[in-house]
Amino acid sequence: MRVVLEQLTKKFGDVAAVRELDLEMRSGEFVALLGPSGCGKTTTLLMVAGIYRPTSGAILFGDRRVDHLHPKDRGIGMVFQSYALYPHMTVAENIGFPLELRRAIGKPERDQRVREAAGRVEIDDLLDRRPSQLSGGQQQRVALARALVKRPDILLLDEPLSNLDARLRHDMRGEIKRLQKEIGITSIFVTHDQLEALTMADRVAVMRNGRLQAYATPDELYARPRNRFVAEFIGTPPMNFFPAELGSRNGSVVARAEGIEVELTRAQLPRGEARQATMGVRPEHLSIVSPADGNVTGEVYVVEPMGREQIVDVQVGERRLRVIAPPGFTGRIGDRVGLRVAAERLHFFDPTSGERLS
Amino acid sequence: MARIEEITLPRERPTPARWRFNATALLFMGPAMVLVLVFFIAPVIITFAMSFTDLATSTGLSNWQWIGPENYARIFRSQFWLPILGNTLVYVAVVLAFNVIVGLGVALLSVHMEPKAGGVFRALWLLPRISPSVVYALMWTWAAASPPFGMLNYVVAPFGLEPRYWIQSDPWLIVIFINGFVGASFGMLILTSAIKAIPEDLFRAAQVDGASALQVIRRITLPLIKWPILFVLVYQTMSLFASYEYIYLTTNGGPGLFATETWSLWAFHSALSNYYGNLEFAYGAALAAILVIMGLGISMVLLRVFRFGQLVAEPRVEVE
Repeated sequence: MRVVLEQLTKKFGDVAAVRELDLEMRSGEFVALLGPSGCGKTTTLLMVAGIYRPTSGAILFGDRRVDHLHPKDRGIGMVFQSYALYPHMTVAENIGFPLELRRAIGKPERDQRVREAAGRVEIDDLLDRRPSQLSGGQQQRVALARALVKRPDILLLDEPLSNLDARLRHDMRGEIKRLQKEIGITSIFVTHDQLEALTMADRVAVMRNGRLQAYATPDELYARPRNRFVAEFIGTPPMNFFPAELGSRNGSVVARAEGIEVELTRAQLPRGEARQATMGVRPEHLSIVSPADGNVTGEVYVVEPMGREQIVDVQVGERRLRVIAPPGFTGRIGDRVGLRVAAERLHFFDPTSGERLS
Repeated sequence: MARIEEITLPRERPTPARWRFNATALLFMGPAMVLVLVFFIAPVIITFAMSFTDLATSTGLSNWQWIGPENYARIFRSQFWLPILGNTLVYVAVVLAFNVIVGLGVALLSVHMEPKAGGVFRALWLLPRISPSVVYALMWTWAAASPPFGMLNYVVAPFGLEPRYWIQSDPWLIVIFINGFVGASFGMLILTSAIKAIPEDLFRAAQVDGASALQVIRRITLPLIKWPILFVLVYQTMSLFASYEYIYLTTNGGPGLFATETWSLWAFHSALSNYYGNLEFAYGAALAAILVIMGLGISMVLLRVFRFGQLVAEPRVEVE
């Protein structure tokens, strides 16, 4: 089922939580709403669910306009951040509840579908338990089964992994993604964790202050962030930024910043006029070399070994740059090092609007 | 799932030191213990003791004698004990139902309203509780005054009801309404906060699952406030058994002989407000003692009926 949000706006009193949001999700697509807390992502989800009524704008499921419909008439399944399992019902009763409310489905069929849904998320041995007797991960699975048992057209997930411990989160990430693809159900999930969004979603909508910042595939968000906010929000550790000056020399475009001078390709920055810019480079695109070989030199500020790699903070003039170094790097605090950057890995943003300059 | 084997820990032997006299602890507990003793335990003991004497105005405070269970025998010899017991049971049962059902209804309505309107609505229902009992009772006696007065007569006139002196013609109606409206606020307060303590997500989940507003109330709200409802039920039963002030202030047990007299009012009349001027303290104490026993018995039955033990053992709603 295709989902379209048109100029969707939600105001609470004078405060606009979501402003003129346009978003289209293809049938079967897995879309993440990503952003820091208070960005309007959960409000958007609750509007799609029908729990909040939009102040203005439209929501379409397929070709049907649904924004006036009660949640029960929208054909959605939802997993809540708190799981929202009914504490007075057993697991089987929880999963069967959506079916029980539909008169058309008899008890034998209901039991059959409850078992089927429970089997899908591997909790068929827990059907007689109460939610309070389950672990967080098991509760999550019950919530998923309950959301899916009525075979909804759209699955909504509100911060589905935030209440799980790190390890379980990793497991469930993969499982939810696989489940979504198996069923082929259009799904929207809300998260503040960029890693979750990038790893699970087909497309990610990045939001800030109620506005859409970018809507693209994870690859594109990472490789060509549309503005500085997206560039900073996507990727860990975050991108390094510093003011730069763009100019031309001998017919080619050059960027100068903090003593670095890099020649850019035409494709990267076609317009050659001199101007100020914010230059960004991801830690994984800087490499540590001997001082003589670097575009710039600096002093090791701190080294954080992570096993597979090391995060090295290098002081360059007034600025501290974060670099990912291979585990073999043996530099110590205070060592002088050179930093090398590949010109094609640089990002440039307008210093005032933050928009990408290419 | 792997079973966790039970581990038996070596049981600690209670050391004698634990039971040794702890002066500091006693010092801290002392004031509270004195209060409990003076205001809770002593009155019960005194009531029971007094019920075996003939203490009354006529004996004075010094000439009383132990007379054994004579007061109790006298109560059950009286031709009125059975009708009064009947009155009491009807009074408690009907007012209790009114209190709990109306309290629950108001709680449910007010939480489903726009929050500010809900607050105003609840405040209105609290008015009888926060106005002084005598003022509240007087308002009822005026509202139910004999024709051509009485606001009640004007309110019911459009429904084709003849104007009447309600306290005389329908004393039970007045007794039930006056107690019902004041008591409903208690259930309303407790149940409103209980409903508000249910995580919002449960209601949202139920809506998404396809429940209508009524189904949400029946399938989610009510089961989750079972325990506070039971609490209101038991607490109101107890307080209704012991209460008499609104009956005293309106019908005063009448009209006629003991028409709306309840057990606690009977005890009050006998001991403290006797028509003949002979205040029979001991007889009243015997009546009160029976009331205490009745109250204990009924609360135990209620707890058994509602399986109190299971209810408190059950996990409550977990709030993240």
